[in-house]
Amino acid sequence: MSDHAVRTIELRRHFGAVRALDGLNLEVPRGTILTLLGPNGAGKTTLLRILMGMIEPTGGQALVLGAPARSQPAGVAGRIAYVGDRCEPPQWATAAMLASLQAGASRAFDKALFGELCKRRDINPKRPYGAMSKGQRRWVLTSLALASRPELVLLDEPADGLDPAARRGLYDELRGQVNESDAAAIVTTHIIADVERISDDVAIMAAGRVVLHGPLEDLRESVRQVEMSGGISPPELGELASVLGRARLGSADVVWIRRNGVDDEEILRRLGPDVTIRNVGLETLYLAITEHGSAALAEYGKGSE
Amino acid sequence: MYMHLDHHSGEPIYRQIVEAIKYQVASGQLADEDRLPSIRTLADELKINPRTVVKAYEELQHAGLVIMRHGQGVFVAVNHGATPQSVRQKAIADMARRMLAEAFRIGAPKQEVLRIIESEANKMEPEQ
Repeated sequence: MSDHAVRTIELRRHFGAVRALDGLNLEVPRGTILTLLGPNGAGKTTLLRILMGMIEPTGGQALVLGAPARSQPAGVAGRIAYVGDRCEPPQWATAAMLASLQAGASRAFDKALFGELCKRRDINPKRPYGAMSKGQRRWVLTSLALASRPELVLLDEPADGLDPAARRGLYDELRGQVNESDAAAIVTTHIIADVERISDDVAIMAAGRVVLHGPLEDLRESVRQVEMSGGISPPELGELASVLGRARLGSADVVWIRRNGVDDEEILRRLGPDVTIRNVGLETLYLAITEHGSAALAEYGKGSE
Repeated sequence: MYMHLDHHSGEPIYRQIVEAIKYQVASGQLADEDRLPSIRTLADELKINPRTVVKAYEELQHAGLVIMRHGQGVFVAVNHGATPQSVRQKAIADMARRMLAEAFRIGAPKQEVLRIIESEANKMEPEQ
């Protein structure tokens, strides 16, 4: 039994000339929630659809619950749940009908839990899906997924259309299941505040690759914003840390780094007096990588990992 | 166990837990030999991964603030504060220097800093 619910090795998927995934390496241990961040077109949805076995990779490997995504043994499919944009149920189906359908597909389906989740958002089980609001539809789909008590949950923008209270309810339920049954989850979202609240691990994707991947707690401890009012000595900084991004903000030169075993004081000592080091939140880090990452790559070579 | 976590501060969650428990011990909300919530319970309550709680408890154990008794749970250690005076004073001076540097950087005058320290200390009401 593998400790990883998901493992991809040099995963590639091309659509004609477009490299949606371009050598993607990722691991999701059981009992953890990974959030995937990245600009539109980074390859997040393609990855989830490959893991679901909906599309085939062009190359590389995608292992899901220990077996290749496209050749899952019988029974595994019911242990994986997916919510994404392209899996809309029929408009006329009521929540109760969807629950019966889902119960047929996954043996572990928990009708009582589904009923309770619907009740929490005042969703009438007899109401047809097509007559629900956008937020209610999202809630019903994610509730169906969670009530299946899956070993792996893939949620593609689950928060889309949900109000803050519903988002919190959804993620609390997800965390409860992950803790309780050692399940794993991959969640994509653009809401950084949610990422900071729910993630064990974070992966930032750009152009079909993983640019930064690690436990959120480690990133909090190791990622820093270094501001230099005078000039800097780029090679020296490259020795001390992985450079994730670089920008000129006003008169200061700003570099975002991930420290490799050196502490802030050491960096301050090596770089001299005109330097300020700050902790940064995930939002700043994300923008640093997606907006200012390529400048750093050009200058320092390969940034991280 | 009430604990406020700030998920957006950039401060690791396990460290926030460590600080919160240290504060509760210092302020007397937690007494010697009090039992801390189990890893499971605290993880469920705070909606975080149990591993994060483990990390926090290990850090507290390492710092000598709690002891883990196999099969029984985690308890507040009795002899905290028994550090030799010289070591203690150096540790506090280090902390003070860091705090003052940050306070001066954001423009707080010395008197204001001292006043805040005094008022926070009074809130904790240590046993003297």
